[in-house]
Amino acid sequence: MKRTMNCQRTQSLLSEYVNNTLPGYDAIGVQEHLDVCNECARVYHELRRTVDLLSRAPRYDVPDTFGAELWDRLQKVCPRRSLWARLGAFATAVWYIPRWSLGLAGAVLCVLVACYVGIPSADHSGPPSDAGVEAAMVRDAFRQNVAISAADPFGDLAAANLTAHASNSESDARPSVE
Amino acid sequence: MPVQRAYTTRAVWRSRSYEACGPISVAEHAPAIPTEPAKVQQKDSAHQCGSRTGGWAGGAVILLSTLGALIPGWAWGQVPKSVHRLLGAPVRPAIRRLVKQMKPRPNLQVDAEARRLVLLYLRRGIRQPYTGEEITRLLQGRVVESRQTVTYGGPGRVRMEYISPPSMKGEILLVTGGRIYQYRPYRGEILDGVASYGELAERVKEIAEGLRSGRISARVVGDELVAGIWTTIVEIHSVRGNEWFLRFWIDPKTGVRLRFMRLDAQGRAVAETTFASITYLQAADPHLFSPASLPSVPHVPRLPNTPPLPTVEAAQAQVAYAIRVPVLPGGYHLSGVWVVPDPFGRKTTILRFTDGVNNLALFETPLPPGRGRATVAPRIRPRLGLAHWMAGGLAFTLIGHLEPVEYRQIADSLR
Repeated sequence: MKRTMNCQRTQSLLSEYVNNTLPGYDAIGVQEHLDVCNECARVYHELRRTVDLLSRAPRYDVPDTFGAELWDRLQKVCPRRSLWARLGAFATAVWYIPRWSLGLAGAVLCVLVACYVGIPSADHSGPPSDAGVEAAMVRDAFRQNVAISAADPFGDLAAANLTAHASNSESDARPSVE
Repeated sequence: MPVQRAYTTRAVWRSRSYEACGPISVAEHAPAIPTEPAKVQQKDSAHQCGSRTGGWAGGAVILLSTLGALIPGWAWGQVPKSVHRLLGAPVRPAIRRLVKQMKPRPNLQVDAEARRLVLLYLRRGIRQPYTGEEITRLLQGRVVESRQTVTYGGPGRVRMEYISPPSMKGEILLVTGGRIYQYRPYRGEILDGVASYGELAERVKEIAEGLRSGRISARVVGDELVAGIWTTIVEIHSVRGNEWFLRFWIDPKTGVRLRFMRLDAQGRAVAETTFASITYLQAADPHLFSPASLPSVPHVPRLPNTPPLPTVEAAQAQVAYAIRVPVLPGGYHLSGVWVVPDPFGRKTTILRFTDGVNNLALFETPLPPGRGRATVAPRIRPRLGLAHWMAGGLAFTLIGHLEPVEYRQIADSLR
């Protein structure tokens, strides 16, 4: 079955959809969702009507200070919240997080801590692995090779350096054994 | 195609001489708009002309030999010696002439031009300051590409600043004052080592001598527009012949190498660096070549910190393990030895060999404690020109371009 966008995603894109600024792929997704979802179609039509009404409304010139005055008035109506008020809001938000997700997060954290403490890394326990030794030596050899290629007029310093970087990125992959 | 028609003209065919095919010029037949490999024209048309003549001659020789083989030995014995002489006298010089024609003869005109261009590169090209943007590609397997701005201030003075890929962006390679600095922004450090000017001068001398003596051969194979400049394409081979070789795109006016390509024995491009844009300068900005122009981060002395030692014995005095010298394919000789610190705090010996064109670098590192007896078969990555193996308490890393069987032979010689 073909998957369409969900309601939340569609409604977040509706403004751009109405303004015709949504990229093609998303616009098709929104259109498909509106075809099958009555609720989102209703929201879309309300938004469309509002935009049409506003576009037909008469325009007024405002003074240059309008923006600053509006901001001041908004600050008075909605004063900046104190730190305690914001912490309280955060605690309230946490309270509403589902209990099972907090439990899951705690369990993951415990597993990570246990792994870190209980399984020592290669650096802490004796010599590194063969692959680690090989990768370190190969990386180092390529680096040195860049330096010893620098004084060769038949050499290519840039290619030597790029090969050194390519060897770094390939060092995780097992090399071919022939 | 004009070249093909020239071969079939009666005059060329009758003369049976290389000179008849010689005057066909690459410049005359070069396409107006260059394209990639299609534009590389074979200038050794004389060889082709010779091989056409030689083909008929070879056929005749094979036919005569087959007829001769069919005659029983006792029958040959019955033929008087005077008849032998009679038959042999006119035949022998003819065969000698045919063999001479079949033998591929170098086109001296073309080789002289190629040699002149390579010497121009070595004498003038590497002295010409310039700035530009280069693209470097590793072409075998997954293509890897980097872009860097290059400012060249003369021999031993280069500054490269990487633009891409993201993993290299911001990296700076600076060669100046006989040293090389590699600023690695992602590690917040500068690797610091020696890139001696004396070594460069020595190598230039060695290549020039190789070209004169024929140990290094060069030939012109075409021309092409690179970064808006017409260049002549020169192929450079070592004494080993059909091995890995180089292709240079040289500006014939300045001698600057505008494109560089390394090709494998089958003629497949392996790596290339080409200028996307270039501006020749009277003199490069000296501030760019000051180590103080690099970001202020710690310097790590992890690169060779001395000029190369001349012999293995000189290096042996500095390390506690026996340095092993491999058996190499013919034509390679030792061109430098270094002793450098390795990632585990021990000393690595680097043996560098050259056949005049290609370099091989063999890194010998003592294994960490607990792995002294480890033996690991060679792991070969031809794409990177790399082989790595462990044997006899040492880890060997070979960097250089060889055929897989040659890597194996070198590894076997060190077990």
